[in-house]
Amino acid sequence: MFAKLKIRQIAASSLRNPAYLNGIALVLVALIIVSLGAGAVKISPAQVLGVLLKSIGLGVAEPDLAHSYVLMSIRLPRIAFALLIGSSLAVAGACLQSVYRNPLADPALIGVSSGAAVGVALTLVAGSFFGGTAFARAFFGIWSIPVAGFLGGLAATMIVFRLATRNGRTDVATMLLAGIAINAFCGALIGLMSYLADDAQLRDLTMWTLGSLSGANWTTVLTLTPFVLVGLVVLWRNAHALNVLLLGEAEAFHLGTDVDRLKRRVVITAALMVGAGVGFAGVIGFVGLVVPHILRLVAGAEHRFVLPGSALLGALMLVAADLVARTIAAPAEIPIGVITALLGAPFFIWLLLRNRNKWRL
Amino acid sequence: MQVKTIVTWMFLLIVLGSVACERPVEHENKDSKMVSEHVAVDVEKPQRIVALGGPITEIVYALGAGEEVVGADITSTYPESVTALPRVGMFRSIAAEGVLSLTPTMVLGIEGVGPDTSVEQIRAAGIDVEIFDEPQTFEQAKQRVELVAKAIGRTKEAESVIETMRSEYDQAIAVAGKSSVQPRVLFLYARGANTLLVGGKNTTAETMITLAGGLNAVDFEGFKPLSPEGLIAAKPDVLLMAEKGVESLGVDAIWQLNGLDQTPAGRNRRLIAIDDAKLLGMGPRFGSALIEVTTQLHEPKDAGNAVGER
Repeated sequence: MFAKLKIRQIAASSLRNPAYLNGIALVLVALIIVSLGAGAVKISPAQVLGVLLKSIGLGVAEPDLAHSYVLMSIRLPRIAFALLIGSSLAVAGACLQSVYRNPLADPALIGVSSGAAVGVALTLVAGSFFGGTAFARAFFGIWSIPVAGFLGGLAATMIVFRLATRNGRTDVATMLLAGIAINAFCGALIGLMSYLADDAQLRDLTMWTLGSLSGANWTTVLTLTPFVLVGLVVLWRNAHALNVLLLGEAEAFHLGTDVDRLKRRVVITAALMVGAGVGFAGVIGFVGLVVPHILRLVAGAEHRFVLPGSALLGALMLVAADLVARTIAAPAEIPIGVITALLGAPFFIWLLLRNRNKWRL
Repeated sequence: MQVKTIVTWMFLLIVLGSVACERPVEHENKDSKMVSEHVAVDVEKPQRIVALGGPITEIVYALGAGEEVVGADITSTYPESVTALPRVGMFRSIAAEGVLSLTPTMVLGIEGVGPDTSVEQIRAAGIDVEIFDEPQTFEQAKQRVELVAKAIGRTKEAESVIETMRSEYDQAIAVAGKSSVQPRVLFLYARGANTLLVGGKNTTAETMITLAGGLNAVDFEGFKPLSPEGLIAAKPDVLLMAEKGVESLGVDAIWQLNGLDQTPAGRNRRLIAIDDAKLLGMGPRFGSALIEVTTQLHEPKDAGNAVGER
């Protein structure tokens, strides 16, 4: 009875704030427009508009071909990529924080990032000893790295999950520790690979672990889209159950939530969608950790607000970070993982200090 | 309200994606046709070249096309004037838009240029991207010069570049031939004290050592981390290093490496340090690099001072 009352309170307090969602969405759209116009190739807003209008068949003047190529085949897929990866990282982070009931949780904790890194390191380095890289290249072509990353991430998560599950019941504390252990193990494997790597391989591996969206094109975007959309929908449908889980596992169970099924769904969905993104873009830290906290700080922990908010704010953060990454040192690029942490951390600290009294998970 | 908001935004996302998705096929075709038409006219008129990889840049400059280079990657450090050009990052991690923003008419790259997606995007924009295989021998190094020359329409200039390479090469081989000893040389690749690798079989360093009349002190494949015992067992007479490697360690730290004082190289303080790009690039300076290695290997002016000279 008391529990239900508390849920109502949580719900009532945050559902008053749909304005936040619309606000974030509005900023996101503005940022996308800015992002389209900015980059190493100078394209004026009028030219951007011309190309966009032309592409939906409303163009008056014939736009410059080079400009329209850069816009439609490089920048636009890149922005779409940032939207997909940003939202999947942030939403996965939000759900995992709730499942673990731990504010430090992020997608890396279930082993998906480090597992992916091992997959990539093996492909890049160890493969060359057995001709494996050549094989992977012949078989998967430019897909060898994303596929290796995706499989590695899934494998690590499955190990973590299996270790924590006994008789169909998943113990969150065990999962947390198993995640840490698997991360340490993967760290050792990556260390071994970088020890064996030659200069070029080491360089590739380092760049990958810092993340980049420069691999974006329409094929990669279309491949990633189903993973992310299905993942977002599945997690969204569990928003209410996650709210109940905030009261505690036993309480949620007695309120009729199948807690173990919920955990399984969240972990597997998060691994699938984050793993797919990590395979393509490398490790992009910080977004999954910080974005959900920002939302909770400003408007409370109700998942029907935090999840869509994370999707939008995560997308926004990554589009912004990529904008900085590809413009600040043009014509060269800075790894996006560096930017997210460099800009995200101070902002988060500022927010934390400002809201010290309101802190809650 | 909430659900509606999400559905609306998801819908917008999808629309944005799908609107854009329909376009590129048609676009790329149109683009490449248009641009390749005016590239294919002839190679003689001034090109706008983006050069990726130190040796490729060196070759382009040696062929007298330095004026046509509009951008390079960060491994291109020779000749000096390259460093004033816009930098498009490291050749292994280039960004398509960055390269395209320099409006090149052709991109020349060393083996390993990537990521593949960026290369594809540059090609799809109608820019000619030529990647040249890494040479393993002197013959192949000359061939690479010829191929680059052909790509930029300067085959005549290539003759004199190759002639210089050839005569320097012959000069070095002659010096090596006069020597009766075959010193054991250990190539040490260093990037700080924690990254110390030794070059084994099938490395550029070994090619240089062998041509210079030395014997590679180790016989494993590729690069392996250095170990004190391995160092002692290799019994090198001379250490060969790239200058940046020496800088990253400091000359004093090199002589303090564990086990080195148990080797002839350590006891006699014999170290040959040569500019990275010159020693390992196999570019136009192949011959002169070889002369340097050979002379220092067989005619040391003063044992222990091989480094001091530089």
